[in-house]
Amino acid sequence: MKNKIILPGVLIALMAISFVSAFGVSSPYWEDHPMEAYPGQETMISLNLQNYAGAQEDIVGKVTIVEGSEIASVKEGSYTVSANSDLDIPVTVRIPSDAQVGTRYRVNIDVKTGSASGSGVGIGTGMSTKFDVVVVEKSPEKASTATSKINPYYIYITLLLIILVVVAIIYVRRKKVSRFSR
Amino acid sequence: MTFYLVAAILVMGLALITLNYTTSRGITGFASSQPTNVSVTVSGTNPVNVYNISNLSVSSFNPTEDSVTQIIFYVSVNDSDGVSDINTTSVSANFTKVGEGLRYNSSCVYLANINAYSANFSCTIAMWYFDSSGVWNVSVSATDLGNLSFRQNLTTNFTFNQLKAMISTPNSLSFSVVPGTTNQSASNDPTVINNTGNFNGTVTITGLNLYGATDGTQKIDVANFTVNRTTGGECVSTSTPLVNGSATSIAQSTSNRGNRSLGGGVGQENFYYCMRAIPIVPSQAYTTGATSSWTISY
Repeated sequence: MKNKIILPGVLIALMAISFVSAFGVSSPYWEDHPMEAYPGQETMISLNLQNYAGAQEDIVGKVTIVEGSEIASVKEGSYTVSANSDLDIPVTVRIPSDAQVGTRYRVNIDVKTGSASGSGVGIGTGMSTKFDVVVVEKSPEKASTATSKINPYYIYITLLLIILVVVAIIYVRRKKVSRFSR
Repeated sequence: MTFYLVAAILVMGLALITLNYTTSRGITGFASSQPTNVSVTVSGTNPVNVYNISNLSVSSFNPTEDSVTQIIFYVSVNDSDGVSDINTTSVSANFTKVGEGLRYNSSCVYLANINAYSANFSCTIAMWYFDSSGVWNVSVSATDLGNLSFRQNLTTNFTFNQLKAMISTPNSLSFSVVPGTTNQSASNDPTVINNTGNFNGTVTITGLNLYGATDGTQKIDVANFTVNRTTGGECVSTSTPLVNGSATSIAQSTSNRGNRSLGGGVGQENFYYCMRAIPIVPSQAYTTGATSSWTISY
């Protein structure tokens, strides 16, 4: 007698077909679109977990940080996203103050959903959010000097007014001198 | 420095001419007369100017899974001939990116006058889930009632974020196989992956070993399973074998970004599965367990 392996039964398969698993993760940074940060900078970004596309049930996304935990932190664990809604997951990126300019860190955060069937060869979905963080020099704008806030036109106008006053004074004095000399 | 010198010379010259003219005038007894410049301003000769496009360059926007994201922004339009010379139904805007479809709003909504020369408008443009991630250029235009001149502002852009999203069906696979046999296809494949986001890239599958539902000490190694994106190709040597617990890129697979409503497989990818060699194991159901599953990922 032959042994027959039955990998998940017909009933399970039919139940699964009736269920639509919709899931998405949106990110402001990705593999061709790196984040730039300077040494010592701390920035918070959001991963947007979505459960739209005609979703009929809530989904649970399991968040884990796979790569880049030396600079990025996220509260790992399960997040429930209600049907036809979305949820922002904050990710904090901290660049060490002694990081060298030009250093490139890779961040990879996985969000996975399990199979709805709960048994059999379940097929879940997963989204890997991968992006690089490039260490750059702190820009002069961010260093913010007081002079950078002064509109240069005010400087020009002030200088012109001073010149005008000086010219007027000189002219009046010369007139007076020429009147007396007559 | 040169600027200051030139400016100073000009100002000095003007000041001297003015002072000399006013002090040299005297009473002569004749009726005074002098040439007078007369200027006539015709309303509507000056073109409009589109400025201050708010809400865009400072932000990035998330696509919405399998739907549109309405991007709302505000523009100011002025006309030195007065606000009444702005054609308030002429303000339009569009988003462009190389290789992508035009996204536009041909009639931005007039909101209110800012002052006697400027007015505020609201524009809403829908971005689709399959629109490419990256920087999109913004163009806003308006026309003038007086001389019908057309002006564009092309100075703004914004970032449309990446969205990795999918709908996959079915959520489980079935095989009914006999130990010792080879090349058995799944009974309910393909797994259909609908790309409901804008990611373009390969698809990976993380497989897990299967364990007996009755006798949990028995297992089937996931390395026995192969995957292919075409039917009939799942049991050939070029199909991709799965690796336990490891995300494996499926050969030649693509997330196939696109408008799924076009049909013809746009925005879709199918996967077919095969058990290449069925091991000699006891007859029972083998599963990934109640809490685990294979994972299809981008």
